[in-house]
Amino acid sequence: MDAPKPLGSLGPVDLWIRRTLILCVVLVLFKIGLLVSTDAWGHPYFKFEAWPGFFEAVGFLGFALLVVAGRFLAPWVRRPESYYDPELALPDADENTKSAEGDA
Amino acid sequence: MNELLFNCTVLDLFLQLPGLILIVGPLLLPFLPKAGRLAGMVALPVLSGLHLAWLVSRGTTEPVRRTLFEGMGFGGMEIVPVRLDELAMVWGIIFHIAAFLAAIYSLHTVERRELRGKQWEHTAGLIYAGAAIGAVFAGDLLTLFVYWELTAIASVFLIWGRDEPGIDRPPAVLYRTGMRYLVIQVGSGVILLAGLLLRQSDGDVEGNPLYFGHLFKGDIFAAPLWAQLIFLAFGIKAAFPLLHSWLQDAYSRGTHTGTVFLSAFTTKMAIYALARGFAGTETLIYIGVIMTLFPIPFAVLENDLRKTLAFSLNNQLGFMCVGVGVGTTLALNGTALHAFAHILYKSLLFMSMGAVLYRAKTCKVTELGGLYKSMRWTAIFCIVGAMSIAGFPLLNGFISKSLTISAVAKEHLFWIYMGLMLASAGVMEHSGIKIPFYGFFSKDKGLRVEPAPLNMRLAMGLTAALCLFMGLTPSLFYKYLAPYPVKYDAYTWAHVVDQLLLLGFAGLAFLVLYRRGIFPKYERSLSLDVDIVYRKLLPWAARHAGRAEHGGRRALVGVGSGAVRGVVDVFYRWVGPRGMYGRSWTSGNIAGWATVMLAFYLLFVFMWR
Repeated sequence: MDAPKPLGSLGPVDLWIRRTLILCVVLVLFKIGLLVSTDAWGHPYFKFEAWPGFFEAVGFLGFALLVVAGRFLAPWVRRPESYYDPELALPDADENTKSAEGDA
Repeated sequence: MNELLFNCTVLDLFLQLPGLILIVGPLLLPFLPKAGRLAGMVALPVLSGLHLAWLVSRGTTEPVRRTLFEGMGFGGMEIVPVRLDELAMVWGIIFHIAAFLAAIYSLHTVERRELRGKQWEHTAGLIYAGAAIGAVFAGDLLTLFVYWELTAIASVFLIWGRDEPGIDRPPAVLYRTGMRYLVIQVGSGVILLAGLLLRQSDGDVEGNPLYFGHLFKGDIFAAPLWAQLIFLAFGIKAAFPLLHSWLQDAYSRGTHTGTVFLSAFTTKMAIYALARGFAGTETLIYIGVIMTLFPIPFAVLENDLRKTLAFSLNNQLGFMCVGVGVGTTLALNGTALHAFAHILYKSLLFMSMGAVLYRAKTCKVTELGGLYKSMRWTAIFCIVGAMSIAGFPLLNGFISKSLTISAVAKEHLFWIYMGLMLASAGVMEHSGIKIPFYGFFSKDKGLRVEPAPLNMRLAMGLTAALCLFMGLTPSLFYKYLAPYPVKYDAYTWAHVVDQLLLLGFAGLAFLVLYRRGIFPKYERSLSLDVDIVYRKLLPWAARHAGRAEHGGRRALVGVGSGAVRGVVDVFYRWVGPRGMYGRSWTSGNIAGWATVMLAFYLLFVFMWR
């Protein structure tokens, strides 16, 4: 690949990854700083709330998990738009949608 | 509040009904000239709000009581048409705000005379809002039922309404969508009626059986039948998992202005009803947490951005259900404030997608791209809404969602807490990133459109400002709006930093997955959901039963009559002369069962149509 992959119409995606990464690192360092110097996480309901890494992991892995779940679901649930309503068939895709329509 | 204003009880009662101005007033709108309609649309929600303020200012929160059917051979039924209290007030206020904002948002369609019947859509929208307001102030189940059905009937016209030429909404498709919506919504009301009639005939209920106070807490599967029926009725409108698909079906088909109305009222009215009647019902915690999670993969896949928002709405309702299920004052405050905040940012998101639909004639991911160049303000407001729902500090989603999550943590419900955390990452996905990104910033496909009309931008600007205001002044809302006294600080360092970490790393995950090509590609498609049962499977089964060979049909009839005989046997055992339900027939009991059968009949006819 020659040209860097764009993020829609917002410029190269690598640039955005770098920016977000910097922001995330700053936040992580900030939390560690607060943990060391203050009592901000003094009385958490769960101990792991004060661990560095918990919310990072939930954010990153949780997001990835749900997207992968969506991808896994795709072949099972995706159907043509006219699956229920023949009126919504695309004019140029008549043949395809007819076969997908079955006996409905 | 119970003293007579005039020497006429009916007029007096009417004057005390909140929302009545919004139910009666809009009927005049279609007959007014254009200026009158414009003024009426904006003035009616304001007048209704002032009316509510007047009712409150009269000082007492003593419910209004009336007796129906007095002197008809029995003591009469006491109904409580109006009850103004703190819990109802949260919904009453936000419903007025939502109606006002949605009315401003719809003003540009007032002059579109060529869209015949459009004025009736405005009428329907405002009546729908008025009915929802009436419902939250209803103090008894019968009054609730009346408003419950009125919201269903009024709101269907927002789906059937005409829209701008060019937007792909074939009338036949709309008709079917509207009918499905109507059957499910009215069916919910019929189940509510059955529940309340059975409750009335249940000897174990203390006090006035019609009174809509706290109905049940604990395990709903161990509840009496009437409680289960009422719970089911509320659950249908609250879009519980497996009962949810009417929501995505209908809200993605409303007119571009109609869906803004739709998104605000029905589901939140149901959440109110749950908070009133079923606070502390443990089952709701599990239902709620499933509700926050299951729509997310569907929202990831969905090509239609308004349908994505409908899935996201479903997920937000889950947070509220968890709050109701936990049932502590902190959790109920969380539910109430979350409903308040949610109506604002969800309206804002539906408004921005409505503006996209209005201008670009589509809001499908596959057809949009680079729209921020021509709809800059709409894009900005959409981002505000997206950041609110994702729970960025300084915006209202943050201050309301924290309450519910803290309430769960305080009860040490570890798995529920983890579920809500996972769901928060998911909200960042489908609403925080997907909506603004694919709505405005994806690959430029050369779409160039006019900016949204001024009234739309005004409505979006006001809504965005309210989101920000609520996020900046949480103490004001905790102090004056929260239904129960609460001492809570959302802006602790721990909360703010943890939330930013969660959102930051979720954003990073999006970029990495996008870069790696793991983020799903979009295509013109729909996703199968539980509605396949009543849109394909049952009609298919009915057709095949009809077409079956003679022998097959005879077998089917045999099975059918066997089933009928079985049902009759069961009924005979239950309600026959020696059955447990046969011992003391009351008129309420008979009516209750008749209504259950009516509900099934309604479904049956719909399937076999």
